[in-house]
Amino acid sequence: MSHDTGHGHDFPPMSSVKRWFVTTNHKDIGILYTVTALFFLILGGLLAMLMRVELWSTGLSFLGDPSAYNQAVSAHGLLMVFWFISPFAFGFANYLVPLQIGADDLAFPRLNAMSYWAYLFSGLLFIASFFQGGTFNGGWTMYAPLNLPTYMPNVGSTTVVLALIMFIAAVTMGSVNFLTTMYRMRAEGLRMRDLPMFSMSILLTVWMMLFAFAALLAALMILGAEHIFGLNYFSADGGALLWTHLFWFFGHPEVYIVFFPALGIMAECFQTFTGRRIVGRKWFVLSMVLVALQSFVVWMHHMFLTGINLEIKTLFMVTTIGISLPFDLMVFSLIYTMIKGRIRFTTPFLFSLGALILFIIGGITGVFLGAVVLDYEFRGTYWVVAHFHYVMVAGATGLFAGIYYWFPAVRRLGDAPPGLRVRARTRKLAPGRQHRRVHPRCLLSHHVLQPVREHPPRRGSR
Amino acid sequence: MAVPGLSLAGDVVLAGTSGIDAPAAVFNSIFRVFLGLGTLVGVVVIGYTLYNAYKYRYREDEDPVPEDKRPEMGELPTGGGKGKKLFLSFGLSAIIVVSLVLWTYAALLAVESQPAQAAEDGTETLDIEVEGYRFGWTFRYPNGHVEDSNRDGALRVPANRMVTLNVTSRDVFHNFGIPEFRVKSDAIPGQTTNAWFVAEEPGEYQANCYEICGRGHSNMKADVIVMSQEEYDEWYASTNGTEANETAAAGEDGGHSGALTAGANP
Repeated sequence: MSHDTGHGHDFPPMSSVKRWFVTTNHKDIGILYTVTALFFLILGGLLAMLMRVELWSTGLSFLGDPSAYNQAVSAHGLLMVFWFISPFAFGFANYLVPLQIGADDLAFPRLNAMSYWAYLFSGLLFIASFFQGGTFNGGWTMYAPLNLPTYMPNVGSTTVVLALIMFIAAVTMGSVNFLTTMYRMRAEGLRMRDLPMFSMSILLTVWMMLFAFAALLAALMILGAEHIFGLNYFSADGGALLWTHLFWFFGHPEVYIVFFPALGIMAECFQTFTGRRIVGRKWFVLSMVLVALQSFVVWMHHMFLTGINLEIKTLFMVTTIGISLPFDLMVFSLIYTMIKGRIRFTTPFLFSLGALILFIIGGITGVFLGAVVLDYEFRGTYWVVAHFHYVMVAGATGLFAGIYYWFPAVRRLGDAPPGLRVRARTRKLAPGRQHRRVHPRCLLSHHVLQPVREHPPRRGSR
Repeated sequence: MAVPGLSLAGDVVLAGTSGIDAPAAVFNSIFRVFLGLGTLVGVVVIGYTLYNAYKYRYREDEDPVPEDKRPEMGELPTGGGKGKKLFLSFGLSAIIVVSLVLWTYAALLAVESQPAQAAEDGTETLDIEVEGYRFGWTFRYPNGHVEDSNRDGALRVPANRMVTLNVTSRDVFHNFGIPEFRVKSDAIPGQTTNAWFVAEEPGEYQANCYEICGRGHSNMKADVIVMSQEEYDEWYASTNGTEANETAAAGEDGGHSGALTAGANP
């Protein structure tokens, strides 16, 4: 089983526990990410259930202490956003991006392993915080100055800040690794614009991660210093507003960081199971690029009631409406891909279709929030909670499509050496365009298109 | 008096006899239009999606579009055509979204400019300083009288008068909101935000905190009591013995220049 000769590594067989501790293989690490993320999904889900049980009747009923409820709310949000959705997507990214672009592994396999272990330990640190006088209880947005030791003296809240810093270290290692891999290690002749949709979505996701998480890291380092060294920063006048700026400068791109990989998977599943090329591929990709850029100039729409002036409100209203338009195009593109298709309602397609419908509802409720006058009243209500969850759950549903879509391939190709998987194939193009291109015969083209061949249109041709 | 040009926001209802487009009326009229259109668009788009999913379902015995050239293994990724249709629907949805939001922008300008407008017209307003603390609200009236929600205090206001709120916080980030009047404002330590409303019907209402602020957050409420003008005058006179009609006209307050912005600079 130690076939990873291309790397010069000899890992113990997959059945051995030791392998999973020493591996630097991108497929192994992809599996580790996926399994760990699913564990945090269950943890975050249990916390959500605690909240719903508490809300079954009015007043204190089940959790027994108001702080316990606030902890459940905060931990649910933080765990789901940071420790579940993104790492879940990066399980797929680890496994599939090298295969889709024809690379043997990520550019820095050890860094990749380190990124995973930092992610796991940051999650364990978060879990430990529950047992240190209670975990962080100031909501997933962690608004200042409630996030300071004055109001949260328990050790657990400091631990959460440290866990987040460690998590961001993991994220940054991953971002750098993927960027290097995708720019430097593609199969010869594979142009960026020809990347499979999932890899394309991951490319844009890591670019956003690189810049967005930097803002959060800065905020968290200061917050950590307040907790550990007693620094006074966010407690000063203006500190509360500064935190909202830093947080949302990260927080809005984060929404797309979470959703883009799912969008990539949906695009792949729609193509495969409708038997059609995606409509307006070029425009779809361009829309994603636009969203990735624009995501950094919409953050103040989370702050319409903080007293920012009318000019800035207007500007951010415009950018917010602007960012909804590329999404319109992507949604229509997916819908039109079905036309003239031969749609097979397989599990991954049903998940993708469900994700699309959830996302449409999330988009429509979002237009309400884009109108500033309505946003004023929706602030802090279930409308926002519902809108946010429609989008996030659409993302999670899209990612689950990925599980059903690629799991058979993971079983089949799990331990195969890279040389058997990625076989470069040259193809002659039409006369007059005599350049030759090399194609990775990657998981994408294989498993995306194989089902089309397995189901020929007419009976008897099998 | 209602100012011409401010009723751009569709069928904005004038709030009682105050002659002011209350935020509640603006919100309700806009929300109804959004809800109607949003539901319509949702039903049409999702319906169309499901219709196509059904129409082009895979059938063992027939290919609905046999002439179509299916993707093949190893081909370079390309788009699937139908670009015209894509841009047509994109253009339509863009027009709907952009025009809807521009329409509401007029309403936003109206809501934001009314306190200044009222000041210009000499309309009588009531200015109240709202301060949030863990876990309650204080309301300071122009005569210095303070009501505290944890000491049987309430926000008492006269009906049909513009009430402007200057909201701040003593400790952490809160958000003061009275859902019935569609008014909400962040309460941020070290700075002041502004909001205003008009209550039409005398009665008892409730204000809540809309930003998680600690263990008492869910109970951080205040009673809002809307009284008739006479009752209010009587009550106000009983506080500190100051005359009731001394409520400061907003004209004396420079903070209302066009927007809810005072104290916004970090």
